[in-house]
Amino acid sequence: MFDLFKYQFIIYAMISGLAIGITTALLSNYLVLKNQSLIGDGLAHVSFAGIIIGMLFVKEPIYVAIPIAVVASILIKALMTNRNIRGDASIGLVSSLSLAAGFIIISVGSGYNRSIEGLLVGSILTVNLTDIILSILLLIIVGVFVGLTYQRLFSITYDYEYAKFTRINVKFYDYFLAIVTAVTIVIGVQSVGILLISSLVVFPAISAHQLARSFKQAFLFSIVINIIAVFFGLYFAHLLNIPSGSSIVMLHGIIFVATLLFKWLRKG
Amino acid sequence: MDEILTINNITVTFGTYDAVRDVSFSVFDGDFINIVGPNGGGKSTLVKALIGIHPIRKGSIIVDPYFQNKIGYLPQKGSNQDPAFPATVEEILFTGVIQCQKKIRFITKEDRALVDEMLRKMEVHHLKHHAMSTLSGGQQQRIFIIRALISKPRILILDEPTSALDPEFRHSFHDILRKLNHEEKMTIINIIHDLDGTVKSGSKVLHIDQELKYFGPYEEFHLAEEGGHLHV
Repeated sequence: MFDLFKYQFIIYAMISGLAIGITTALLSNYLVLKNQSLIGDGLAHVSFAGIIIGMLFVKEPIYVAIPIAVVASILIKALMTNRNIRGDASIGLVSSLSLAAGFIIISVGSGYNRSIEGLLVGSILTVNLTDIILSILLLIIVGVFVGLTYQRLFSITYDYEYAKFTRINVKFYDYFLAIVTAVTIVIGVQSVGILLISSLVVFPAISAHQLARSFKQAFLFSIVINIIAVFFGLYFAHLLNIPSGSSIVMLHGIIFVATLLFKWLRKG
Repeated sequence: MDEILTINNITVTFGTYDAVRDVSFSVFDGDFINIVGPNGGGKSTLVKALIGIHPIRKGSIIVDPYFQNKIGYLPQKGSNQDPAFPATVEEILFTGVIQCQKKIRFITKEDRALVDEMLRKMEVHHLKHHAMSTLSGGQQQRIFIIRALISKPRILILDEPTSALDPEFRHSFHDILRKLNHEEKMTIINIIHDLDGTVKSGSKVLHIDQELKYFGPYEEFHLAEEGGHLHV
């Protein structure tokens, strides 16, 4: 099994994939329990447009995609606070507009085809040193942020109004969470692709909730689940010669069914 | 008794709708106030304005500086919580411990000791590591009242604390409130669906239906109700 690590591209893929996996797991419980699972999907669509636009101007489109996704995440949050627009609808608005913009740019541009396939399903085996540095940096930033504010984020997630009453600046944490999610999604898109990145946000929390009795357990199980899914997902992708993003998500599906079964057996 | 909360002509709106209109009253140290009124009459909105989680459009709320960070709050049951949320009793009580603290800090040994002390006092220490979702409605409400009390408040504000509970628990819950008010001299503001079973003797009633319909002693409210009219 460890023969795999004789290839540098596999080592790069593992480091980058695991860093993204742990980062998304850190955010996963807060987003899923706040009914914002879809924000990952929406921001993935935005990062699609961002990367397409970035390709027009710079060598590393990620530097254009990140600020675009950050602005979009702020826009989604601002729309969510509007009483006349539901939260999921505001994600739908921003994400479909972004996709439409991306496709228009593709239709007027040329030479996009190859890159688009990579964007949709991910190309983790082609990550470079910049991607690795960015994903590790992001893991450190999100890790420090979540580590320092764990208690406050828990309070906001469990009972938003009570958190407001306890004088936690709920808006600041809401926006900060949306912004770091946006950056994580853009960087993660390189690994598992636009169609599948949200699974790294949704699956770990949902599977962990089948096993966990406490939030702390849910938090730790989510990290372990994403590590297992990314590690073995990449391993099977290489072994069976299948797309790495799909392999990771299929493994997540298997883990989810296993946790459901475990919960059912424990109850019985 | 000292005046600790002064509410001057406040109006609270949702969009263009006035949920609470031009309401004024004062709360004195040691008061027990039952807030009554029809559904949608503005009871919860008024309380949310009092604790600063809903902005007011007009008027002012003045809190005696000594009492500013000494308020406990028990939200309406099930209003915000997801029943399947993975959290233990201890984790939920920690959210009350970090109340009104500007600096980010971690849970300390002292905080854990405080949680233990409060759980013992309310005779539910055995539930400390239980998942909140596995507790009965009565047990959950007991945990929420501990959360409201853990910061040692001097004013306790409750939003229909017994509405979803069985009559037996309702009775013991009001015993707890009576003790807090009589023995610990805590000021209590209690939203209640109907006045049966709550602390009545010596209490005040605030009747609201968008506007203030009555504010004064329970006995007078009761007499007026029986007589078929209310003083406004």
